[in-house]
Amino acid sequence: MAACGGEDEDRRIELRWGLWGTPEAVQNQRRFARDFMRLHPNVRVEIEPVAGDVTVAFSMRLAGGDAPDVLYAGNWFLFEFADKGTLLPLDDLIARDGIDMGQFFDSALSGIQWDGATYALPEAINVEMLFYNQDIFDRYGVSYPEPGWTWDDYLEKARRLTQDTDGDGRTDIWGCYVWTWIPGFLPFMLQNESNMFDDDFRRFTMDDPRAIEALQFIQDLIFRYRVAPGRQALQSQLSIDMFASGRIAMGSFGYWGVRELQGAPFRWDVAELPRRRTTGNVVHVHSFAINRETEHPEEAWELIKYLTLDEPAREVVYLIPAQKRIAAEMIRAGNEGMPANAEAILATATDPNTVSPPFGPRFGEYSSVLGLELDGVWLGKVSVEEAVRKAKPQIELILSE
Amino acid sequence: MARKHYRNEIEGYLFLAPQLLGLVLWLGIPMLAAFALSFTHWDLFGRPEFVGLRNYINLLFHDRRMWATLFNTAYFTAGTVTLGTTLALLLAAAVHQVSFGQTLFKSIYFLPVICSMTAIAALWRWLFSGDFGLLNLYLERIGISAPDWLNDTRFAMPAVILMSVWKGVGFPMIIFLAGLHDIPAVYYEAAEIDGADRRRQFLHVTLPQLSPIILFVVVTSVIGCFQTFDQIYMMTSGGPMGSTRTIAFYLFENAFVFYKFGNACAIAYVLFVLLGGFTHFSIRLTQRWVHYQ
Amino acid sequence: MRRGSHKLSRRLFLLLLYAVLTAGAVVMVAPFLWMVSTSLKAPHETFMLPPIWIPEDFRFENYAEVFDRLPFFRFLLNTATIAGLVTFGVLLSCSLTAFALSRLRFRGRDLVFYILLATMIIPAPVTLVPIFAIMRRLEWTNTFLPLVVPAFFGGAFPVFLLRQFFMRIPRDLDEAAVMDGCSAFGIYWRVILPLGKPALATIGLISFMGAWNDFFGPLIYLYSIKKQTLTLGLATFQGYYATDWHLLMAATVIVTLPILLAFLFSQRFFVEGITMTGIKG
Repeated sequence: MAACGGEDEDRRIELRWGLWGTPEAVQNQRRFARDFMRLHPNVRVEIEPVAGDVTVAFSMRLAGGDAPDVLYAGNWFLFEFADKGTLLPLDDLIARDGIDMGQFFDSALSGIQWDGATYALPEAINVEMLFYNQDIFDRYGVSYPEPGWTWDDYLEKARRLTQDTDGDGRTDIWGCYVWTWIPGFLPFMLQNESNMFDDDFRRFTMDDPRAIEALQFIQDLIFRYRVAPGRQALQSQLSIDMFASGRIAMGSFGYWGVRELQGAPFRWDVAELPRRRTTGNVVHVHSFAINRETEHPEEAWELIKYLTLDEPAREVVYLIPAQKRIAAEMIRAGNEGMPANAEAILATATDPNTVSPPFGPRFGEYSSVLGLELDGVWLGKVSVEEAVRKAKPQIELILSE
Repeated sequence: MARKHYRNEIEGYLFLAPQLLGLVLWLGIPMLAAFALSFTHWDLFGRPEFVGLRNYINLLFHDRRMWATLFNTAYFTAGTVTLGTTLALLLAAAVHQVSFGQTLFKSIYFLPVICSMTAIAALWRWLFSGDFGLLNLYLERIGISAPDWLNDTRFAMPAVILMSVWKGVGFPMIIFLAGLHDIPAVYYEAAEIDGADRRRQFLHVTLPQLSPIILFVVVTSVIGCFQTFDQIYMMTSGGPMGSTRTIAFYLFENAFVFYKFGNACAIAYVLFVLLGGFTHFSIRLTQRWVHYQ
Repeated sequence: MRRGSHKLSRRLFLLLLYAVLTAGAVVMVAPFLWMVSTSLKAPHETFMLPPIWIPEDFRFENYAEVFDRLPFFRFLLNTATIAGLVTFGVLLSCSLTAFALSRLRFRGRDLVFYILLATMIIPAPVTLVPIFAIMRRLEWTNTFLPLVVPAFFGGAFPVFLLRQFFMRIPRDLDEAAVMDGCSAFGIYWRVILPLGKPALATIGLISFMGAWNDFFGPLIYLYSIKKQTLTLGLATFQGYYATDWHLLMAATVIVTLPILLAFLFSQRFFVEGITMTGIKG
């Protein structure tokens, strides 16, 4: 459509900005686009929100040479697109403009850098936190989690918190909840000094005894100790609702749970995840990348700098701002709804063992294989050993292709 | 037929022009492109690389997932078509019998057909949930202990089938009603004189009279079910343990999750041949018993 | 005496039928009632056990919030435009095709019909990428054209239904029209279209529904928020992390209501249309 307004005629440069997220985030980003246009009268920013399947929409557009200039990305697909050569490496621009990457959390950087190149500027991160219902803890005289607590403490509390309140033989309150997808189980593996792949991304290492021990611990929570719900385990969305209705005593959810639990009819707080040999947590990183084929790299760069370094960086919703200083200010401001132990969130975000999961190229396919085999573990149908043994050759084949 | 049709070659093709152009543009060219691509490795981004029959050989002989998805698809299809068609037939027969409120019943049963799958799937994911689902809550109230539908390898597919039948039953029902409307009343009168009760009338008059329509409904439903994608995509993503991964969903995964577009095209042609074979044989076979007026 | 018992059994039978049909109707409608009920709840009410069917306060603000978060009025307008154009396109092109396939006789006619039927077995996802490439070449991406234009080029299922219906229109009418000096187009325009109204209403509603509820087409082709549709807005409410069920359900009601009204208004026509197509294998 041709611009016909007088004001629009000066805007010779059109920047397309592809984004996605909650309705609230989309609403905010429309505002950021307007603010940016006010600061840069020669640029018109066209918002292109993707509803639902981001990767499908972005891949079609990138492959068809019809993609937006700026793309909102998540670390779970950023490297797939970077690997296909569709994104502009930003290191030269970062060096030229002297941008201090140290202002971002290291964990955020782990979600935008791949093979020594930087493909995006980070907007926000999301770490897993342990949310616990203080009313339930008090009711059963269980002490709150303390910094430095361990798997043993976790299990012991979970056993005491698991309750059949009406005596019908069925559990009404579950001691704990672990999401059985990568962000849920990987922290346990990291805490036990193991990971999914070796450093070269060639070898699948979940058959390492320490990794198996971590997965076994989660399977035992469900089937041996019966302190975690097996049903629901595969779907995280309804589980926060379950926590919110007072039927889970402790659950690990993303930081977004803080928002989700506002107005909950009980007292709750957050804690660091328990540790084993060490600490460990995973991070989701939301960032802005630039399409390699953009005709306006300078303006696109200005836009993503604006979004990650300027005013919008303070208005992150649902997530933790990627800038350490802003995150600390936000969390320490003690806004309404921020839990008492908010400091734990900062501690987790800065912990060196909080890292981006191995969301490499081909993540779509190997995660599909892994998910299929692990489903059997979470349903109690196969042992951990058997699942990883079956997954290993399939996944290594995918990595070698 | 002795009567002459209005006959004109040029005019015939003039009327068909948009349709023929559409066939070429939106089906012919894309299908040819997909056929060519089915002999390549292509990740959507780079250049397609010719690999001969390798995709087909992999799919048919080495890919365990392919056979599992074929089984799941057959399961879904058999369940949905059998349950859906039977239910639609019985409902149509029942609605046909009543006069008061007939329109209301027709509309109510048709209601889910008109709704978007995006809306319906989210709602049903919730209804099926083990802990919050209304379905299990009410089943337990009447003493049935229900499984955790979507998180149970044995019950995820039945859940998807139930939802699909609920969503779709109204359409064949309306078609059957149309058919029932067309059966001359004299047939029933004759049967009544012969002393046939309702069950016998249904078996010996209604069913044979409806048989062409039943064939139509079954064939089109099978074709539709074999391509089932939306429900799976929106409700289960193929899980748990791949128990609801249908062939159309697997095709989609190959194209847009695994970035193996050549494979996806090969799957499409396997599916195409299967469906073509099915349609051909079912029409051949059933022509023997289908009753044409 | 026998006659009396017969009547009684007939009554009992009818009663039973009504009971079964009503039970079935409850199953069909309950999810919709739950949807409407949830859309009016406060967030904390959505997961209460036992479930709350009638919320304490009807929170119509939920609807205002949906409209506030995303431009749903714009989405509504876009969806209606697309669905309207698609319906018009399907009616026009498919009636032309069905007319030729049912009323005219020419070489290759049946072949075209069978090819058309065969297209029903083509799995849609595989043509997605090639068609996208064509649309891209035509520079139609980020416009309504990729969603609307194909409708003007026919389609298998509507053609099939219309053909069945047209074949039942007495052929004498064509002959009479020819006597009056009508061309083939005249027969189409003056005889078949007016008599085909119920079938056209049926096809129209089905096409309208299909376009209204389409998710993948808009997801792939409509980039700019100004051009997007209701199903995309709805999908946005299915959160990335957690879902605000009361808002999602309010959005669902907003998407469903117009199509529901369209159905209720055309319902009589619609059922009649299918009845009269008299599908025969």
